[in-house]
Amino acid sequence: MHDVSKIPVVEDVLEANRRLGEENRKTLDLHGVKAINVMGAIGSGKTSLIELAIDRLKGELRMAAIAGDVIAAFDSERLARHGIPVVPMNTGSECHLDAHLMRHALEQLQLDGLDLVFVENVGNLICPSDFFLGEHKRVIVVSVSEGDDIVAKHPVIFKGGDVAIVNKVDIAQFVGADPDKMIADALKNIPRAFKTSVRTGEGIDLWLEVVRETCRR
Amino acid sequence: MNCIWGGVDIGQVRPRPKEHPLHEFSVAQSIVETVLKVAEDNAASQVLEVNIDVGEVALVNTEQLAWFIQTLVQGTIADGMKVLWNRVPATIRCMECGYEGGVRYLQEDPKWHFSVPTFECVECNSSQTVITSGRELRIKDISVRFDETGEGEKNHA
Repeated sequence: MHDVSKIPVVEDVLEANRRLGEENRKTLDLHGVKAINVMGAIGSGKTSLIELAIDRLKGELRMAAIAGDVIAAFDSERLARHGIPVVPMNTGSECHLDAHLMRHALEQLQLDGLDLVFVENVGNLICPSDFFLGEHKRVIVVSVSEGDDIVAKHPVIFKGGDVAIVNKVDIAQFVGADPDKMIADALKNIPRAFKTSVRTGEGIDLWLEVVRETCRR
Repeated sequence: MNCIWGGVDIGQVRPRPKEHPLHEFSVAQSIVETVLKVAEDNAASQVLEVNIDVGEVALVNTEQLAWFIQTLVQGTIADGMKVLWNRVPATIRCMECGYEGGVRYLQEDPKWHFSVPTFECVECNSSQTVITSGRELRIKDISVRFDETGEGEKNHA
């Protein structure tokens, strides 16, 4: 006769990533380096915002970047032109960075010579939110061209974040989006949200302040 | 070998390991590894089903995940294993008024495939809430069969 029984397992599949993320955080803290995880939609302006911060804060902070993308060379080339160390992380068909990839990226940076690492996540408002990388701050970037219901449609990623940025507000009228609605939707799930335009410079000081404040803590 | 971009040494270009080609696939792989390990540690001869708690706002596609799991277990002692999902509802705790319990949902829009939860406090509308459950993806238990020769026999191999 066959004997059938239930064996308890009770293991969270995402727990391994969280543990590795905590290890990354310890490594960063040991070297006194802060990390900002920049997540957001495809084409929302993540790279442009990071480029701007690098240029404007170059005199104050020693920065590096980890560029995660399906083919990371494009963004990493853009960021490296600003004279900082950049580690490209190719995710292939994978839709997010995880703590394991982050670990490998950190291994390639001289952490002792740095104050801050920008981590540009894969353009996606879904998968990255489940994967803690060890960052000190989570910034979520969306732009008006994704439609002004984009924030309401993705509450989970905003709930896990610290700052939401609604970018490209200079073109809001041309794409028929209401950036104030996007801000209001974000504030339901995130403590801080503001509008920016890399083109006109609107709100950029607020973004730079987020970066500075992360490094002061 | 290190790579130079724009005159800057950007370190080694490390490709994504081939064994993790997709979000749901790597999650499925991790589930299958755990299931097989637990079954083998307990000297089971066959795994009949796996029970997985999946949070309402965990960002995985369970249908796709089940398909990957069933593909990965082919040829193992878990071949043909049933994958059962227990949906764990989202709950929050309010840091302002102390409310603990379920969440509200946005009015379902026909454009969207499911109703979107909102995490504002149900009692006082504060946004100062934390998610207390609903994000898990947890293997709860497995149902296994032992050979009639008795538990432990398989360990001799």
